[in-house]
Amino acid sequence: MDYGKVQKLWAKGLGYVADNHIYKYKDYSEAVFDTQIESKEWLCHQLKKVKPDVKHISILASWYGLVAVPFLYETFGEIDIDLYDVDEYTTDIAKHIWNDYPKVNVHTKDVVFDDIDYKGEVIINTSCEHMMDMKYITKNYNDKLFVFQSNDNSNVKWLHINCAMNQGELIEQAGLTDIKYAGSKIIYEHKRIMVIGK
Amino acid sequence: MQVVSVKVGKLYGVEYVNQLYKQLLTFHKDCVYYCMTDDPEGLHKDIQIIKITDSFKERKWWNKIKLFEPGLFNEPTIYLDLDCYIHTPLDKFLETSHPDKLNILKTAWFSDGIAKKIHMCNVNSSIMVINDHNCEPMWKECHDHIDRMYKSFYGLDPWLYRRHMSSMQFFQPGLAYSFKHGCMYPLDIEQNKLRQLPVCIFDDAQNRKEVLDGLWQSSKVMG
Repeated sequence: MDYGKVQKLWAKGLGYVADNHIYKYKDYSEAVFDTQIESKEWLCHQLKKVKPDVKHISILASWYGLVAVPFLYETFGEIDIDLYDVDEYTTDIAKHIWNDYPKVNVHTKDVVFDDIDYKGEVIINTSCEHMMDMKYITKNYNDKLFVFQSNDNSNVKWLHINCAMNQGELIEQAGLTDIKYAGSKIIYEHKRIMVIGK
Repeated sequence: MQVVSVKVGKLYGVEYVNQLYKQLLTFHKDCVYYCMTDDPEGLHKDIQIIKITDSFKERKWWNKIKLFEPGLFNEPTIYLDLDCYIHTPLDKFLETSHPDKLNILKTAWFSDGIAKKIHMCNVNSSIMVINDHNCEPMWKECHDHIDRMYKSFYGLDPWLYRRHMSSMQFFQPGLAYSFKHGCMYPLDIEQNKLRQLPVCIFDDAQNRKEVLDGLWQSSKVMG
């Protein structure tokens, strides 16, 4: 992986954060933590094994997409990627970062409540611990492949509301019945869990 | 005047309810005080009980959504968290309330940016004014999507902020303050200080019980 690409993108957004969203500074700095790198590397590695050819991906609760997009591009080429996040400041920053990437589209949408027509053949959510069970979304899409990550760290007050302790729990939350991959690994002292399936 | 609180589970004992009632009577002798509770034992005999069950075992504060049921109150009614302390009369909350919106406290002691960073929102439901119909949008969403809500939001405040800002009105500044954080950013943010304002809330205060005990025992009323 060309980590320099992530670094350049991060630097591109940094000035915009400083000028327009100073209270996002800490949040923005955390978007490229080692944990983000490791979890997206793992995701791309396993997704490539399950589905070697992907043309279009939708990412829920995408944050800035700073790590996910470069890793997905490295793995699948310059495919269409739709980023969805509820926070308008986050998406404003993301739109700046990706303004010269025509195949990356940033949407300010609430994936919990809004009716969204996801176009990606693969739907990714690496923040399942932050929100409702993904079964509310998977039930609407029998034909799509879902990639979900969660973790067992319920100590993050306000944010980690719907953690999963193991793969089985995440599969149940997601309502997946055709499992292509399920695994877990310790990342920064906590168990990170991933399932891929339909 | 009508006032209501919610007591579910054992986190707050009956003394919180009875003390709040005592403070209310100091300023509003004819006040009708309702307590929505799963256990009325030990409550003052003049407190009006509204029996409810505990529907949210892990995060009991979600039981507050039961306040939003249309028709529960027949006139504008002040809701107070049990760890509030009343310093002075509450009339202004009602006089300045909007009849068709949920009237609610803003975390004016933070800048909006900091509020969003710390608590994901600038809304605080420790104090509200509810009437017979002003919470219909919230009630409908609770009815339709409570599982999604409960698993996506730690408490009511970030949910209200994200979903119902257009159905709410903030109380005017200076009607309430935070013991821990202050009253109004950036002019009045001295921490851990009591003020001559109608209501003090104790969110985030480590020594909440100790301070409240002191206030209860002295029955000290500022102003």
